[in-house]
Amino acid sequence: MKKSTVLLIFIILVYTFLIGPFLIIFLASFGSQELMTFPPKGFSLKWFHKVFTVIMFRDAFWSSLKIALGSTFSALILGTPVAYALVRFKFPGQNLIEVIFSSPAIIPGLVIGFAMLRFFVLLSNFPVLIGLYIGHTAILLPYTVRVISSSLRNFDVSIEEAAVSLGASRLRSFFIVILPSIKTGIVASFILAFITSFNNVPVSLFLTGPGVGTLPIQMLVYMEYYFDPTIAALSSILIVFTVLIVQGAERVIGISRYV
Amino acid sequence: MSYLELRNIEAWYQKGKPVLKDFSLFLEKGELLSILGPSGCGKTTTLRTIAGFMAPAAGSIIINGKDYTGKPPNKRNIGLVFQSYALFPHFTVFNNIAFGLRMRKTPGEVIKKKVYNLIEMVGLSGLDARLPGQLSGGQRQRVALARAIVIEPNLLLLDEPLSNLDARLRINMRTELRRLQKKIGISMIYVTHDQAEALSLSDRIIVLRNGRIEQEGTPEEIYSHPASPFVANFMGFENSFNTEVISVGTKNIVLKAGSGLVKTEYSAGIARADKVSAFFRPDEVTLSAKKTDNAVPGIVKAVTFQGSSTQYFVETELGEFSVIIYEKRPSFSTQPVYLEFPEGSIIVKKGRLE
Amino acid sequence: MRQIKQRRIVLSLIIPALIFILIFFLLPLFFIFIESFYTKTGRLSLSRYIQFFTNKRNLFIYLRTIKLGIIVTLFAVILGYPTAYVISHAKEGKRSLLMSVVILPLMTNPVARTYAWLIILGRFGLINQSLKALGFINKPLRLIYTENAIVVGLLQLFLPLMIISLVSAMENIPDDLEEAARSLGSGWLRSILLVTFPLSSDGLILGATLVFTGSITAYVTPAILGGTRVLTLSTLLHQKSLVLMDWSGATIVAVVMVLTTLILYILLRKLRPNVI
Repeated sequence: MKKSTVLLIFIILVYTFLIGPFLIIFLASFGSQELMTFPPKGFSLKWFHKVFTVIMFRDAFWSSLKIALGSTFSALILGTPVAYALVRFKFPGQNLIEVIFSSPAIIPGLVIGFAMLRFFVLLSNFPVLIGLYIGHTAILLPYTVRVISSSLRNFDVSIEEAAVSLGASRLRSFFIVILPSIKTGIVASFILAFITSFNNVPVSLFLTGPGVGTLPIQMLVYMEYYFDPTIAALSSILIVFTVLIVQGAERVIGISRYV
Repeated sequence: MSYLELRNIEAWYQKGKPVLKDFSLFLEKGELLSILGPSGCGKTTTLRTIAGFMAPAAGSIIINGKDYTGKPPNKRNIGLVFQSYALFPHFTVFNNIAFGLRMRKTPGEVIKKKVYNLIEMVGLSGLDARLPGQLSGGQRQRVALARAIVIEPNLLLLDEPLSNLDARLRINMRTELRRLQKKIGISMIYVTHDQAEALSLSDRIIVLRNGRIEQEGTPEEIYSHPASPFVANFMGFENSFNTEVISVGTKNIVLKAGSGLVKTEYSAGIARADKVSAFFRPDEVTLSAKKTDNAVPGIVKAVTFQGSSTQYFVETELGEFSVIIYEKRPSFSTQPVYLEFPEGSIIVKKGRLE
Repeated sequence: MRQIKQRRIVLSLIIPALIFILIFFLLPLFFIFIESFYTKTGRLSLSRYIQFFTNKRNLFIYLRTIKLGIIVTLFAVILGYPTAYVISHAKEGKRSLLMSVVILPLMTNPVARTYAWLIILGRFGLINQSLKALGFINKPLRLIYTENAIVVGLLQLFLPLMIISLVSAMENIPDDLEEAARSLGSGWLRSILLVTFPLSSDGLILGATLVFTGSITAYVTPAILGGTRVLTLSTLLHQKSLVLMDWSGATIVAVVMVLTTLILYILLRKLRPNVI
């Protein structure tokens, strides 16, 4: 057979496997029966309506949003200087620093959550929200450091040197020359970090507590008690938003390059 | 019948935008044909079509009387030298050159003999165990050449093979390439945008423009008698002006040149009162401080000393021209001069330039 | 002078983040690591590790986790390689579209993503209903709460990582290398095998490491698709800690998980230092 035909069939199968389930969940969420079945029977929007009336989802959504925004900003503020130091300077212990800042991405999230719960949250009196916020910042740091480092590496050093030679201080030239030219990288790491935090389960699983639950955790909790298609409806909404964000970010900044 | 024939080829990447249209080409056995043209003229497409990486939408490719049009590239036995060399970075020089023979299931002993023979022929002795990353540009070029030749191809295609080398090496490799081609008597198509390269190497040249053959001929023909303004420009007739024909004699043509007249060689098809374009090369005219025959007045605007020559920019009524004079030191500064056209230095083509 | 000044700049750039990560991340990890070497009575020993690995159930779960990881990785290679090949050879616009779809499973809420498989594999799900309609079965097959369900769910999640690693390796291979191989007489499959495959091996190894370590540490997929019936290391960790409150039992699971992952990364760094 021709190479192109063989590959085309293969690709269609792989993509069906990757995104087919999303289409199915979408269809399933319009069914009218109480028990989740597929193909769905009848047509109803009641599960979508229910998503917005269940208080635990609404609260969880706002907590997730707060945590994701807060931890993303902190990870960017902490991570950007590290990325700059790693790219622009040679210093002793550089390798170690690099390893330390990539470790939260290598250590399993579940273990991070577990360790933080045992030796930080349980031993201190921090409110649950702060604990979550700190935990998420830690796991986001590697992403911001990595993405911003790679943008900085593509940035021509001589442009910064030109700014300095024209009289700008290092700090000033960072803000007026470097920052604008790596803004795509910053936006990309913002989006990736935000999504990572918003979807996180392993760390949140251990750090959520009375009164504060993130959206994915509350979805898990709900699933333990109910089998109706509310979760399907909520999942459809989340998937539609994800598709929109990813496609938009791909158009504007080519997000897939940064994953 | 010729050894290689491309008959009425049409090829495109995007439907409705043919790169080649009704394109025909012939090559004799042992001949070295250059395809010369600017980027985007279709020369690489021609090579890829012959090599089998592009299926032509129409037309046929015949080699030695056999139809090759639908053959996959690996069944064509055509040697290809890429502009980037395309050496396999994970194979040694030996294994790169042996690749084609291995595909042909040649016995190991024969491979060894042939590869070492070629390594010596292209002057790479002792480098057989190196990886491409450990070679200089010129050495890589030789490996690419050896790799394509060792399979004893029906035809050798070269896509701007020297364009990544520095100037001195390029000139050395030119001579070497020509010698090698003569020695093994291989038929070769050489694609380039460098007119000097095409002129010095080829038996025959095809000048390609927008997928059509603009002119075809020996290097001498194309150099001295470009068939169109486009070829003239490509062949170094960098200066041009629009004018009209005042009179046509048996030997000469007289052209209007601003407020004066200039005379040049007779050219067939040119009649009195024709609107024409005139071309001349920077190094085929001279400058003089005094008024002479067949000259136009001008002013030197800029002088650039280039070592063995000096380039002048002379402004005249006809426009600004570049003039190159071979001299040890510049003899004119910015001053009024006469731009003098020796016999036959101007060629005339029908039609006006934009 | 310059040296000292530079050191000061570097320090001031790194210190805030370093302190943060030391206190909130490395220290807790360090504590559970230390804890794993102490017995209940406070003696330093390896007894917890011995206990963990001599317990049949634990060992079984550990080996199952590794097995599932290997299966997922193998499938990811088989499905990912041709896909990455097509993507890396597509034109820019098409490439971007294909990639942005590939990364969707990574970007989607994990509960939503896994829930989809419940709908497909569940008692009244797509597969069971179709098989019933076609008359192949009378009563539904048990498809969820099986190892296969976990493999399928993990594969959907981690196949993108394999594809991304392979695409970025293949993009650095010039197209004309394969063409050169073809012009020298090799068929298309052999050109890929002899040229593209060895030159993209770094991407393959990186992808395999990411998929494998991801698979053996993933939580949501085995939690939903395996439940308590098919436990893996991560669901075991969850069970021991948050359900049974057996903190020290959970600690050893956590440390075993970290060590398994770390050993792989260290091996990778030693064997193929240019991969990461």
